[in-house]
Amino acid sequence: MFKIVLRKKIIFLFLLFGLLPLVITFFLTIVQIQKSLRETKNNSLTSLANEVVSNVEKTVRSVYTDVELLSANPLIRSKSASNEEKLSEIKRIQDFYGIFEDITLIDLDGNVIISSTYKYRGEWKNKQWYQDAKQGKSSISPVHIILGPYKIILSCAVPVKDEEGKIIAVIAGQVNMEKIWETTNDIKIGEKGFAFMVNKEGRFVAYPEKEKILALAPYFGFVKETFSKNSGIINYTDENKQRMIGGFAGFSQQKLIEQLAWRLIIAQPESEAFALARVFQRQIIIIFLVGFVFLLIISYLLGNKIVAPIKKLIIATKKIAAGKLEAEIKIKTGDEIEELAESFNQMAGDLKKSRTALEESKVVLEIKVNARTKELQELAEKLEEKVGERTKELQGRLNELERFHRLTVGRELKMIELKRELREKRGSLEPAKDKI
Amino acid sequence: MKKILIAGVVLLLVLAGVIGYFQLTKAPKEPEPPKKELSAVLNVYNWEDYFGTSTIEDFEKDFGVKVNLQTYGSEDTMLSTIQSDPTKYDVIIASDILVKEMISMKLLAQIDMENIPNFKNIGNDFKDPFYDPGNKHSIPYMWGTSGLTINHKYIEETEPSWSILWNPKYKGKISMLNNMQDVIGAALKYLGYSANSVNPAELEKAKEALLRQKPLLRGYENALAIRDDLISEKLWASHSYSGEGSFAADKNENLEYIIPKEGGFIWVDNLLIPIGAQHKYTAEVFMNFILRPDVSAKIANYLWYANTNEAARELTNPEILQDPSLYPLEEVRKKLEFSGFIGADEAIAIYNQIWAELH
Repeated sequence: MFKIVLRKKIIFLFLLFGLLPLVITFFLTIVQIQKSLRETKNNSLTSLANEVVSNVEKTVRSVYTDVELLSANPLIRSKSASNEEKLSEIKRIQDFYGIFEDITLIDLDGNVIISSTYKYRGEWKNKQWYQDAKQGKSSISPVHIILGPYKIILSCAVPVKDEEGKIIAVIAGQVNMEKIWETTNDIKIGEKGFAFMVNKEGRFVAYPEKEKILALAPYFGFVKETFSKNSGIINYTDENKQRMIGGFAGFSQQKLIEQLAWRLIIAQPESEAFALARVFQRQIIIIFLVGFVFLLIISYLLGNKIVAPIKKLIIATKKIAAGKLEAEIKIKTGDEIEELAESFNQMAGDLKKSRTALEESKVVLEIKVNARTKELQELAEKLEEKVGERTKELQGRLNELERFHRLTVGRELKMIELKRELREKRGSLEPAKDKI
Repeated sequence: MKKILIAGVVLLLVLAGVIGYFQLTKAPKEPEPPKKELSAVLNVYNWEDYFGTSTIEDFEKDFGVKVNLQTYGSEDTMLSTIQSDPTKYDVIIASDILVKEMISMKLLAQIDMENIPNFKNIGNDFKDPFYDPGNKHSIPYMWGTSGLTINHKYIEETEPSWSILWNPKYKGKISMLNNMQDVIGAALKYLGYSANSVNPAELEKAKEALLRQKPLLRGYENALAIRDDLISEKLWASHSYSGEGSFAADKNENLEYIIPKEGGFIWVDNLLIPIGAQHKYTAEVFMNFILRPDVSAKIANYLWYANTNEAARELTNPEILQDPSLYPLEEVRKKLEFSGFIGADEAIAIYNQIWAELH
């Protein structure tokens, strides 16, 4: 069986019942603060992503609208206008709109009829957006790069119809992605937050660092997660091993969802996004630690306060046990322990009185014993004297008796000798008698 | 006993605290990177008839992967298809300069060479090429030249020259390849310029020459259609690639593949992986298979193409190895140019414009 001193028991109890609510409060506060701050941040990131993606959507839709307007241009639709006239018209329109890098008119075999810049490499007939337009459906290309000079573009193809509504050609307008990035590049969240977009293959189609455009987003599971729903929150680790949080949103118009399916992400390092939560957390930890230390000190002091008078009592008891009845305890705790100390002092006082009385009784008794002893001594001496006298008298008588005894014994011995002679004489006479 | 109990309770509290704290602050679990497992299918996009007769079947048999092979007739077709959907194919083939362009266009994935140990079989001349330093995106396949295939039965000229394709006597019996750079390059060479000229005046003259030639042509056609019609003598002379030209010459003794005296293009075809490939690991396993000496030699023996695979030479038909039209002599090689006008942005527009006007 372990023996635990009272002070430790008191400290443990204080710690136990003080620490338990402190720990519970600590974690509940952290959880609640983190939860509410996370929700607030998630909502703000998602809302912003939705807002920005709707602006991107507006820009993309305006590209559609502009190319559709272009396809309705009477000169472009005209069968009688020469290619030079058409080229002059598309160049004029290109300058007027200011968003097109190139406008190309393509025949139904995929051959370029006219182009404002001829910057396009590759066969038109194998481009999906051309095929869609040829089938009568306005279509937009994936983001792609053209060389000469190097540009990242989006191409929108729209059918050109004659007056009877028959498709006679396809017109394609190339839009520099810079126009789209104007919407996303201005987004700044805190110091490190930014906006970017990925397509369904997981390639960046908008990113503050241009060299990353069309590179694969190197975040595992990122595409699957962001394309699992149209809007939400994603947590990922970027290429610098930095934990990021992002609110994402996709287009709302069905046509754009089918053809582009981009996801706009407003991303921010978690360290920055939850800096406030971390400050709160740190403060709570400090409060907890201070509380813990305070609790420890209080427990120690209280333990001492309770145990110190008891220790005094123990020391005093030990003194009394050793016979030191003058021990007195001075305790002013104002509680039961003070009462106990007073009772103890009283008890000690009573014990002291009893002992004094006992000692006085002992002295009286000793004097009495001494007097009696003297009397007895004198009596003994007298008796000894009388005994001596009697002894002397008895010795005289004894001597007389001894003389008498010795006389008696002599006579007896003479008698025995005579009897023996008599028997011997009789014995010697017997045989003679028989003979006779 | 009581001490143990109290210490236990305090310990539990501290433990709960520590676990709780780490639960609150722990990082989300990172998904694992894709494993190196073969996929059930592999989507390959290649020139028409540009593997061996049993290459695909052999791969399917050895690895249990179903290969979906689609073909194209021109590199522009392939480029447009990949631009439209980079996820559609896992392996594609393109020549040197297009490889460089596709890298610039961010259409190609980086190849994991750990999965292609047979890369060591490639000849040193073809490693670390100018169009893809370090072979980060490309694995050399076959190489060849662009020249002429002529039928001596019908062609009077004895001197090998591009001028044969401008001879009005052969109107309707000659064709050009349907490749912008090859065609404009041929015209530039015919005029005595560099096949990669970016000089607008020279390009203007090339355009005029091509416009002059256009009425004589049956058309701008793909290499296989030209090859077959040369064999059947529907065509008398044509712009050709060395492989198709030599293949045709092997089938019809009147035919000969020639490198014109003015020179022509030399090119190296490469196996590539589009950036959006769905089965990248299987694509790399396929490339490694293609680089096996026996597989590579079988392909070269069938196609009649010069091979970049040095280790396959021992198993290659000696006729091919000794054919100077396939492995040109040094003096001829000096006249050959790799295609490419990278850096001259204006020239690209001129090339595109000439090509558009020819159609």
